[in-house]
Amino acid sequence: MALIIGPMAEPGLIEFELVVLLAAVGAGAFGAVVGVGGGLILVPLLTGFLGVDIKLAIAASLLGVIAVSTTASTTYLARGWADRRLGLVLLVATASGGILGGYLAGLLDGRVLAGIFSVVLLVVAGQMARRRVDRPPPETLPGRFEFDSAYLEPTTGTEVRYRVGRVPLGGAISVGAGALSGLLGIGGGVVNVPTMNALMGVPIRVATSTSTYMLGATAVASAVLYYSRGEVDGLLAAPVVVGVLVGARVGARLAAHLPRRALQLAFALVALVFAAQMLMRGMAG
Amino acid sequence: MIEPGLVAPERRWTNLAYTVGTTAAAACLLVGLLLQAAGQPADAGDPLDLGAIAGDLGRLRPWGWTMLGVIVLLLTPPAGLLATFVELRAFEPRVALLGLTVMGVLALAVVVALR
Repeated sequence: MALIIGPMAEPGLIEFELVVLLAAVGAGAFGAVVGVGGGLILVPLLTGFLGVDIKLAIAASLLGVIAVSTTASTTYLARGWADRRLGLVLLVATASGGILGGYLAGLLDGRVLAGIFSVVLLVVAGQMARRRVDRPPPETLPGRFEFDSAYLEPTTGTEVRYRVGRVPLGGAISVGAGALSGLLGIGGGVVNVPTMNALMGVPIRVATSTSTYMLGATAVASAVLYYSRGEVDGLLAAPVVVGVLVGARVGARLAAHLPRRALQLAFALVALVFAAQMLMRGMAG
Repeated sequence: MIEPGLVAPERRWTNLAYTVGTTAAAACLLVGLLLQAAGQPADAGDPLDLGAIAGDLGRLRPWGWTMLGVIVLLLTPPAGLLATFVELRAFEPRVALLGLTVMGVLALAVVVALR
């Protein structure tokens, strides 16, 4: 099998991989600071600017998602912020969705994927541009499938108890989140976190930590399908995974010192540019 | 005081699986990148041919090392789920079973992939 990374790869593979590495560091850091994960930035960068085939870019991005998820989860689990019971319940749904997304990606043309990606970028850009108000979770949550949990809030040092509700509805939405993740190589946190927080009554810290915990196994469900189709290229995955890991670590450290709101607006702007670029790519073929 | 069962008290094996898996995968990927930078030929093979990947490892070829990293990375979350099952089966059996259920879904993904 010949190298299939893209047009830039053939003449100077090492130089190409260095550029991919730097792009992955930037995407990982930016994603960690604004809280969207690196895939939303990395896939357009790889396809639009580096000429990588979109399915290879998505597969490499999924591997980056796995690496960031397993690394960050060790911290979240140790601190008790990731709710494993909730995470495992929703993982059944997101992993199933991941299979669906990975399977559909094999059927769809790259131009269609680029078009869907541009729509998702527009939605996320809109979310980022709006000033987000962290609302307290609803107090009463109907439904049979609810359970209680708790975590230790580090800013106050107090135990926070919460009731997880609307589990079936949350699970149904999670199937869609998993499918989107598998289809586009993004983490799925953009759907998971609001679902857990606003719909299921989970505090935002637990929602983000639990979502991160879920992303790895969700991405595996779709990545194996990409792998079986020969769309996982180790020579592309290496700089992506290493770069995103380094970038996410740098971004997590920088996050406390940077103006988050300004960066979210900057991300919205970048996402708009990427969306336009992906849309043109989708239409042009 | 947090009641027993509200917060899973044992996470050591899951964290160990994640840490070892991610570190090993990143190390293999890094070795592949370094071999490539050292000028080793970077011809790609069939990702489903595990023999070719193993052969590349012995010949210090970048592609085999990066694919080994990919495979280790893909196995890391399932290893974490298995560790979760082992950790929780004694005092939270239903949650432990959920871990197995997710592994079942991932096994289904492999079946669909190889179909």
